Amino acid sequence: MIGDLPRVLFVGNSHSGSLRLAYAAEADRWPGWDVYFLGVLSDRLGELDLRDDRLVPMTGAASRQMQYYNHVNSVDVGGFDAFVIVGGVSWFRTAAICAEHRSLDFPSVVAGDETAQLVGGRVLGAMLRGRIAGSAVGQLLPRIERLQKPVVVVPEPALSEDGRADDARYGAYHALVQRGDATHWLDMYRAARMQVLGDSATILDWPEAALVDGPYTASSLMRGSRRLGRIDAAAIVAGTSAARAQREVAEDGEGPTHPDDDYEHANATYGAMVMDQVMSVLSTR
Amino acid sequence: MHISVIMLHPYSDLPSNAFWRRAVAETSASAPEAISRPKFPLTRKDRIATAGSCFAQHMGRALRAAGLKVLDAEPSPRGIGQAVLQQHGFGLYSGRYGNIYTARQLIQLLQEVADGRPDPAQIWRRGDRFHDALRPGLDPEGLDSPEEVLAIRRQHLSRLAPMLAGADVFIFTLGLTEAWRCRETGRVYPTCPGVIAGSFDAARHEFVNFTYPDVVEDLQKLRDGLHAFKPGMKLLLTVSPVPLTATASGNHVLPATQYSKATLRAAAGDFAALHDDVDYFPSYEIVINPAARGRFFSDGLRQVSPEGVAAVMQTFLATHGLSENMPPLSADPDMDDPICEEAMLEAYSP
Repeated sequence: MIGDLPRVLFVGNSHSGSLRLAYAAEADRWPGWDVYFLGVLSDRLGELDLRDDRLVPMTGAASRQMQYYNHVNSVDVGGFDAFVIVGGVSWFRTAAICAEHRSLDFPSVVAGDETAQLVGGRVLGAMLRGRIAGSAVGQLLPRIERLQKPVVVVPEPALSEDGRADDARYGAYHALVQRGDATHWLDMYRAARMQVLGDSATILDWPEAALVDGPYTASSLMRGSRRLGRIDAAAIVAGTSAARAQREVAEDGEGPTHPDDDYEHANATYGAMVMDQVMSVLSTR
Repeated sequence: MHISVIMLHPYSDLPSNAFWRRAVAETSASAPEAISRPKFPLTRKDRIATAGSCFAQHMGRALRAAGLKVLDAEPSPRGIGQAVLQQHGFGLYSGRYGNIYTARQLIQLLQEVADGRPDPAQIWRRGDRFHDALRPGLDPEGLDSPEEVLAIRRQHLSRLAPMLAGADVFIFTLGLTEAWRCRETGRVYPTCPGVIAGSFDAARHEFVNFTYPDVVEDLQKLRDGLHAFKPGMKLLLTVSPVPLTATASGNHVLPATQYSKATLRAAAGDFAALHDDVDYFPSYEIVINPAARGRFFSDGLRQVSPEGVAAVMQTFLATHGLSENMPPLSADPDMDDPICEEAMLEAYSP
C-alpha cells in the first residue's frame, strides 16, 4: 500500500537508465520498497549537494539537468529510508593508469614485459583511490552519508564484449586484458574502491552472470540500451509519488536507444539483474 | 665666470641598475629591471632538464606553463590528481629523482646513470617497508621489498640516460651545503638517515658542510658529467632562497643558512663566469630583495610566497624573452607547496 513501504531513492547518471527501464517493466518483481529515481548525466552526479535534507545542484550544468531530466530544481530526500547511487566511476577507464605504469607483481611484468614504467604498487593504489575519491560517486557519497541511511553503490557496467573490436576508444582496456593484467588490476581496483567508499556504503559488484571472459559484459545485456529519459520527479518533491505513477511515466519517458557503437550502457535485462542485487541487499536492512 | 667640471670616473656612465637607490629602493621588487643578462637565451626549441632543491619545482612548472619543452623521462599517467602525482615525485623534475639539494648529490646520480647499476646498500627500511635511500620521500608508503627498490631504481637510471642525452639545457637549483653521507662510500643523501626511513648510525654516517672550494669542484664535475651525456649541454644555475629547516653545523640556523647560501651563490656565480655554457640566474636575490620587505616569504618565513615565486618566474621568463604569448603567472595562493623532504626536520623542532 502506498505510504506503508519504505522508500528508496536511486540517484544515478546515465547508467541508472537500465535500472529504471527494468523497474518500469516489472515493478512488482521488487515489491518490498517504494522506488524512486533521480537522474543526471555523467559527472553531474557529483555536483549534487545535500543542504538541509535537500539534494540541490551545485553547478549550472547540474541544475539544467535536474530540470531537464527530472523537472525539479531540488529534491527533499529527508524522508527516504535508503539510497542507491548508480554509476559515477568507470572501471574500464582506469586501465589507462596502468597502461604504462606497473608494479613488479603485475602478471605481465612477472612474465618479463619491460616496457612499462616500474612503480610501487602503493603508488598505483593511491592513484586508484584518488580517481575514485574524485569521481562523481566519490563526491556524492559523503554527502548522502550524512543522512545516516543505508546506501548502496552500484558500478557502471563493465565494457560490452562487442566493444572488443574498438581499439580506438578502448585500446588501453583491451591491452590490459590481453597482457593478462586485468584480474590483478581489478583486485587492486576493488581494494581501492572499498578503502574509499566501503565505510559509507554497501558496494556492489557486477552480477556474476553478466560477465564474459572476465571483465566484459555479455553483449546480450548491453545491446538495445536506452538513453536516460525525462521523468516527472515532481512527485518526489510533493512526497506523494507511487511506484505505479513513476512506472507509467518511465515507460513513456525513457530516451531513444543508444547507437550501435555504444558499448558502455546496459539494457533493461541487465538492469533487472542489478535491481535483484540491490533489493537483495536492501531486504537485509 | 663659473666653470663646471665634469669628472669622469668608472661610475659616471653606469646604467641605473648599478645603483642601489634606483635599482632596488625605488624599483618594484616584483619586477626588478635588468637584473640578469642571459648568456644563452632559452628558446621554445630547447629541450630542458631540471633538477634541484624543492624551490626548483617552481621552475619546471613555470617553464612548462610558458610552453617550453621540459623533458620528462618518467611521465605520469594521465588523469591523476596533481596532489597524488607530486607526492610520488611525478612531474616535479625531468625524472623521478626527487629533490637534489647539493651538486654532489647530482654528480652521484649522473655517475650512477652512466654505470647503470644501483647500489644495493642504499636501501632504507621503515617498519616492514623499504625506501630508496637516494630518494626516500618518493614513495611515502615505501616499497614491498629491497628487490623492488632496486628494480625500480635500475629502471629509473635507464630512463634518465636518454633524457640526459637529449637535453640542450640543464637547469639546476642549488639548495644546501649541509648534507649527510655514508662514511664507507662517500655517498650523500638528500635527508639525514632516520628522518624519513632508515636509521642513523654515527659509525656509518657523517655530517658534511661543503665549502666554497668543494662546491666549485663539484660544479666542474657536474658540467663534465653532463657533457659526457651530451657535449655542449648548457648549464643554468640558480640558488634556492629557501632557508635551512635546521642545521647540524652546531651554529645558529640563521648564520648557517647565510653561510650555505653565500657559499652556493659565490660558487655558482664564479663558476658561471668561467664558462660560456654556464649561466647564473638570481632567484635567490629576487626573493631576499629588501624591497620586498619580507613579503616574498610565507608565514613561517621559510617557504617562498606565491607572490615571491611569481616575481622570480616572471623575471626569469622576461629575461629570456619568453613572456609573450603565455598565460600570466599569478601569485596563486592555492599554488601547491613544493614537495620538500628537508622540511620534515621541522617535526624535530623543540
